[in-house]
Amino acid sequence: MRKPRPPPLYRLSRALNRATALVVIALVIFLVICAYSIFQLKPSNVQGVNQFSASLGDHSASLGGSIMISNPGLAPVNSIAIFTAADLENGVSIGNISLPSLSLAPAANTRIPYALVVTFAPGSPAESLLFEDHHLAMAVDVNVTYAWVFTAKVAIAGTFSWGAPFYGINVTAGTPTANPNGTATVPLTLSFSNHARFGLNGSISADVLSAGGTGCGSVVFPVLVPAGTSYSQSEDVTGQPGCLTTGSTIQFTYALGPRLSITLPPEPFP
Amino acid sequence: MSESSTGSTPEETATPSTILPQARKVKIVWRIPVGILIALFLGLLFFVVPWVVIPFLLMYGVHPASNIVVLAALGSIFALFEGARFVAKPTLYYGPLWTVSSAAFLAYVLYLAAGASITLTFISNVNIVVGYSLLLLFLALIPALTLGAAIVITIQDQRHPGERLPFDFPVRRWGRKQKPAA
Repeated sequence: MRKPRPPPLYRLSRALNRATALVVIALVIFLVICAYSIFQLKPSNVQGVNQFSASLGDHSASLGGSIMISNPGLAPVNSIAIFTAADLENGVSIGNISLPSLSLAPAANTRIPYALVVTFAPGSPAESLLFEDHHLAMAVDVNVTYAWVFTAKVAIAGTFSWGAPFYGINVTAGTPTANPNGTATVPLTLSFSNHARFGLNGSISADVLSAGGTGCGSVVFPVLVPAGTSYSQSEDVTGQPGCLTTGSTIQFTYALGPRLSITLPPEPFP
Repeated sequence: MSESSTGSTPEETATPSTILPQARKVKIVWRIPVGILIALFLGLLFFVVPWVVIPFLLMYGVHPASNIVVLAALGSIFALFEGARFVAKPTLYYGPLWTVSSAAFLAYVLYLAAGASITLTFISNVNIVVGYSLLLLFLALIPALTLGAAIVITIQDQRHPGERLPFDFPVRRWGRKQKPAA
């Protein structure tokens, strides 16, 4: 006489019930691990929009910061993607960037730098950043997938106070002096205020171009302007008398070493 | 409702090589208060909690995506039928009641999963949206499996009424370990 077995359908139902219990146990363990890990997750060095760093690059400026993420928990950060965009006050976009997604294993740390590069193309809306202060509308979106099942989208909006590095740039010409060789020398005075958060250290070359576009003299202004200070310096430029006059233009180029240069819009010869 | 309502007796389905055990007599009257307690507890969990918690969260700027009325309705259906299925376990109504309660719970979880996000706003310019749909879809495995079990037990009861009773309510083997005689 063997021990009676429950009917097949009853056994199937019981098996499904046991599978349910296993799923419940697995989910509870998973949730406990997630809860523990989420409380261990520590993003630090998160900067507000107005605490972004700003720096000049080759024909461009870089606005950005970095986030340090420490994940000592047991669950991984599956992906972190950062999108940054900046607009002028009138809503015109001056740049945006999407960083490639990255992941962070359990018990690991990482620093995520993010930077929005604004290119000063001639005639572009961003060019005004060189000479005018702006309140840029910044948006930083961070998309995170945590422990495979949790998603978070962090949107930080704010205003970034941009100070122009060449605010109020102006050039004035002194009285021309005739030279014995037939040329003329004109003292040029270059002045501006550095409203930026970074200092300027390099040189500004001023090339005087005739109305026809031919070069007729140049001068280099050494520049060492800490952030928040003004600059005013005079240098003599020598050229043909007919060229160093009204109708000509001066092309300024700010250079910081051989790899970084910014061409400023031409100014009329005073 | 008692075990007699299941129709045939276990002996009718026994094969010649087996002797089916006897089912214990189940007093339904004791199952009713326990079923009510189950319904009350689940009702508290799935009806009252959303009704209280969601407005509380809204006060603190947390915006859950789910509709409180739908959640409360599905939660109360689940609680009522779960209590009723406990009461009706020895009867033929057990399977259908379990099917309805599992389906209600599955709908509850899937409805939560459809709008499983919480929006938090800090100092007007920092907005965080936390999504947990995938977690709830995994959680939906639980009612999906119990729904399967409920459907199977319903079919079992339709085909062989009462056959499961000796296994659900086995006769207690009192005194199996008998003390040696002094």
